[in-house]
Amino acid sequence: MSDRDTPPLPPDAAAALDADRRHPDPPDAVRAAVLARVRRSVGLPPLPGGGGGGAAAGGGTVVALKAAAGVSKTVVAALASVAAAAAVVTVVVAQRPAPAAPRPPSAPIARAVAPARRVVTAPSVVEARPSPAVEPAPIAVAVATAPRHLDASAPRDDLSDERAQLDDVRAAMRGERYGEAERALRRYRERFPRPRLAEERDFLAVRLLTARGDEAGAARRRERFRRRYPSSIYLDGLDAPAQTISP
Amino acid sequence: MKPDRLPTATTDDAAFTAIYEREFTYVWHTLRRLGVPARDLPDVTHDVFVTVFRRLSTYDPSRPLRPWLFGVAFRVASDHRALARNAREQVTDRADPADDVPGADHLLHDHQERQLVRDALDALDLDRRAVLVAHEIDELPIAEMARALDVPPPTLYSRLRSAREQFVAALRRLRASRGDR
Repeated sequence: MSDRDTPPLPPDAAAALDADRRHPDPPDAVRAAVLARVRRSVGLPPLPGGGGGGAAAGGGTVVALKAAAGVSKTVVAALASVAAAAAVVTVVVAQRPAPAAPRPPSAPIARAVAPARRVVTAPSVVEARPSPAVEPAPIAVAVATAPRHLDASAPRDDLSDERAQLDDVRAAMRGERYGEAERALRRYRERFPRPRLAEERDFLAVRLLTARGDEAGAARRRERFRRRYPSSIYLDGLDAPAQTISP
Repeated sequence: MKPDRLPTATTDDAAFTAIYEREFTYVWHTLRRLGVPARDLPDVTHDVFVTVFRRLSTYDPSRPLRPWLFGVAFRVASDHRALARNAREQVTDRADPADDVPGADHLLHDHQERQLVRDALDALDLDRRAVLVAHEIDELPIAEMARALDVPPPTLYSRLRSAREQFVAALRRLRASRGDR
């Protein structure tokens, strides 16, 4: 079979697909935010200006292009042509730097950031950074501490597994990979129906909903959390804005 | 629009950044057309480019880039769709903030047409949807898609044929139900 054997689309269907070709592009802020996350995930250093670069930087950022070993002039030319569409792009390439050391999954983070760097467009969460010079901040994540509500009936061997799974959730949240965090949290629930770290799990669930902009869902879970764990060490961080970092 | 070729492919930061800057929008729209819900597009696009970075050394620079990118995007979208939760969201998630700007009549018409296309594409399974999107919208050659997806060309032609039929049928059904024509 070949294309000659397949009847082409009728004009009305082809016109409909044309309309889809005119779908608006994602905002530059999203492009920049995703690039910054990708670079963190693969261990590349942030780009000058916060990781967006090029069009993502909003069209004013000037970046010096310096070809070096391993980067051909044609790649440099390609980069330059891409940059011309939005701005002059600067990428300094001297030698491929060593990948940045990944942040330990359960390491505490103490960093306060300016509020309102996230634009929530209901029902989707769209990341927007008005200033590309500011790194996206991890969301509030509590320091791993011994939870007060442990299910003593769970096998002790599972505890480290539980901890590791929740660390996955936390790491994804710090990287602002909320879909991944949600999947990790679901895997945790499925694997540990009677968890020993239920308190921490529920706290992370609240933080995740907050981060994703689901205020109503977060509020419901927050109330449930307060009823269930009235003396929890996590209560202080429960109401924190999505961008605030717990010590 | 014909896909460009990248002159060289290395795992270099600069090469990767060049690909990202040039192809981010393409990957984003490809994932959207493959049915990734709007709210998950940043996450799934991230996953695609992480894969691109890690597999850049396997890219043959003598081949066009976009079919290779499409192959990566298709696999990541397929994994994403495989999750039951995501499958449910595909039915219910109609969030499309970038599209939700009322304007002149032709913009509104475009918006309605895009929604119609999206609903009609939802009627196709992912394999057929992929070949229709890649061939009819992105104009990727079947031979390149076969290489990128590791599927024999006759199979892709067969899928294309049934995808066109199913898409047209779904489009007409949806238009009839909305009283368009």
